[in-house]
This record gives sequence, C-alpha cells and structure tokens, in this order.
Amino acid sequence: MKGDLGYSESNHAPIASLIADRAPETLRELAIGLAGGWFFGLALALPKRGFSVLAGLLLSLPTALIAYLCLREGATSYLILVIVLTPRIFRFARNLLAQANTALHIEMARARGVTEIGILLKHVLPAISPQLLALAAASVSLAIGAAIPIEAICDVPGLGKLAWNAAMARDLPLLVNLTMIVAVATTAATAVSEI
Amino acid sequence: MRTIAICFLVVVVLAALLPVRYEYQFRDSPNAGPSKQFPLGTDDLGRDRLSRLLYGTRVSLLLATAAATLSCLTAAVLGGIAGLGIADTVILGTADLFLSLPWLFLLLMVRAFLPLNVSPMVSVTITFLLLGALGWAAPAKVVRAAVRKLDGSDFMLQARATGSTRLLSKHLIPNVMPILWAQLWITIPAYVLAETTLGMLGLGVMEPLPSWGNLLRELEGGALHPWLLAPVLLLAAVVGSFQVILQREDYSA
Repeated sequence: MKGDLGYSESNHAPIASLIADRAPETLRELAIGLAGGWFFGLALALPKRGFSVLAGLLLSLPTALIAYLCLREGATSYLILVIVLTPRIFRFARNLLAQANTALHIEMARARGVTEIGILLKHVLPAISPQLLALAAASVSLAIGAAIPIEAICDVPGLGKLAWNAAMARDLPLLVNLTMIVAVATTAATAVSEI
Repeated sequence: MRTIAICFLVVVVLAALLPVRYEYQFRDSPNAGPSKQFPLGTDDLGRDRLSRLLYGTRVSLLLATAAATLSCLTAAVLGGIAGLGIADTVILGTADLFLSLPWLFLLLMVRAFLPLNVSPMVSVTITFLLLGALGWAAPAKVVRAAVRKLDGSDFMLQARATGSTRLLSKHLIPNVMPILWAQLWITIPAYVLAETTLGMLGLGVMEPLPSWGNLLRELEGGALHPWLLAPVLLLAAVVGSFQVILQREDYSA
C-alpha cells in the first residue's frame, strides 16, 4: 500500500494529482447543490399544495437536458445541480409529510389547538427524521450521478468532467480509481445515515 | 397509459407514412426552418427532423421497454431465488455492490469498457443491453423481499400442509406479478432518461441512427428555435405519463 493510484494515459499525469486538483471544485458544487436542493425541496414540500406539476416536469427531463437549457440562460453548474436535486427531494419529502400528517396523535394535537409550526417541529419532523436521513444519503448518490452530465456540459473542471473524459478516452485506470472513490463516498454516506 | 399508447401508435403510423427516410440528406436545404415539406425543419446535414424524431422515438421507446423487460426478468429470477433462501447472501451482496454506485456512473464506467467506435446498430444493442444488464439490482431486492414475505405467509403454509405441488406456479408467481409490473413501469422511464443522458454525452446510440439522446444534442449550440423543442415535449409527455400511471395505479399485492 503506497497510495499510488497509477498514471492516466489520456491526461499524461499521475491519477492522484488529477483527482486532488479536481476534487475541490466537485466538492464545492456538491455542497452547494445539496444545501440548495434540501433547502428548496423541504421549503416547497411544507405547504400541502403547489410545485407538484413543475416538479413532475423537471423529473421527466434528463439531467443533461436540464443542464443544456439552464446553461443557455446563463445558470452556473451550482444552480443547475440545485434545480436537478430540488424536485427529487421535494417529491420524497412531500410524501413523507403527507403520511406523517395523517397520524392519529397529530390529528389529536391539531384538535387540541397546537399551532401548525408546533406540530411540525414537535411531532412531524421527529417522526420522519429516520426517512429524511436515508434520503440524505440517497441524495449524495443522486448529486454525484448528476454532477457528471452537469460538469461535462458546463465544462466545469471537476471529477464528473474527469470521469466523462476518461470514459470518452477509455482511460480505464482513471475510471476504476474514480469509481472506487465514488463507491466509498456513497457507501460512507449510507453508513452515516444508518447510525 | 392511454397517452403513452397514443404517442406510440401515432409515432409508428406516421413513421410508416413518412416519405423521407431518417438518414436521407437534402443537401440543398441544411438548417431549414419549418415548411410544408419539412414540418420541423432540417438539421445541419439537411436531414428531415420530423422523420428523425419519429424514428428516434420508436428506437428509444421500444428498446427502453426491451431493456426494462430484460432487467425485470433477471430481477424476477435472481430475486425469486434469493427470496426462497437459495444463494441469498451472494445475490444480495452483488445487488448491494451494483447499488453502491450512482446509476449514471455505473453506466459510464461499464460503457467505457466496451468499444466506442462501433456501427449504429451495435451501439443500440450495447446501450440497451447495458441498461438491461445493470438495472436488475433494485427490482431484484424488491422481488426478494416480496417472495420472502409471501413464502412465510399463512396461505403458503396451508398450501404446503395440504401437499400442494404447484406452490410456485399457483401461489407464489401470481402474487409477485403485480410487484413486477410496478417495477417495469418504474424502470421504463428511468431507462428512457438514462439513454437520453448517455446519448447527449456521446456515449449512447450513434449517428446516423436517431434516438432521443442524440436528437437533443442539437440544443447544445446555436439558436434555440421553438421547433427544436419538439423532442423535449415528446420526452416530457411520455416520461410524465409513466409518472402518472405509477401515482394512480394500485400495485399492492
């Protein structure tokens, strides 16, 4: 075990240095995309109506197409990732909230005059937190998957663009290393959510 | 369901009636706007966009359905075997391995291991066999869970106690079928979207054969004319219809 990940023939550079150079941009993009996606996804899911049709439309389009269309309007890769993640988080969160709101103890709390915010903070969110944590892990995987077409189309020098270039050039050592890193990241996210 | 069936029938009938083949080049009129001869104009090689859209819709819809069927059959066999307790650890471990990677990343990696410069028909076969072969893991886990639940149910116990010899064909398979149908309806739109993304990234169906993926690459540069959005509308209508089916139908076993 020397930590040597090998040499990329297509980039004429050591794989470790390529990944170290590109990782910060992708990590920044994932952090902003996930934060924005979660913020807007949850904020839009809290009201009982609205956004469903637009979310359905966004979910009916592939990430690459959303990236094409948003890039034409001058959107950054961060914003595109937020737009891609928001409807996915929204749909799951809206279903969870709708199910939780039908529980008998919540109806009882509502009948006793507890405010909607009180019900949300004291009863609904604690009840659905395990599922939200599972969604948090799944959203990391979704974000990494979405980063490939977004970075490839927006020409962002991140790991997604590196993976796409490696696939186009059939640079298998680089792809295998990237795959291992992504597998470790998604598995770690899942493991953390299960603790 | 009705929208998808109508879309598909219209596409098949119109594609059969069209006088122009999808690969025919009108060299005198590249990048033409909509006209009586070319309702959606022509692309930069002078090919009729409407013919390419109709043919590409057939390619994308038919082959996504074929790939989804392949995935669901594989999932039914492997999930069923695992659910009955045979090679459960191996099958479950392999499924978890497949699911540990984001779907697009897995597709990209495996696609890169296969030849890239191939004929259009070979690229279609590779793309959809790849989708079919890699997408079995999630449905297999669902089928496994269903089979395990059914296998321990009271009616199976009673069937065993009465000496029934047709446990699989009479009791297990008919009860798993609704779950498999639901998985099929989930998988088809996912594969349509995956093919489109791969095509837009240049790793899907190769030119001159049209598919939704390579048709949408036209949006990458140049002016965004309304008629260029026809594939987008068709794609959104079809995938959206699948979402509506999944919301409305009750597939509970």
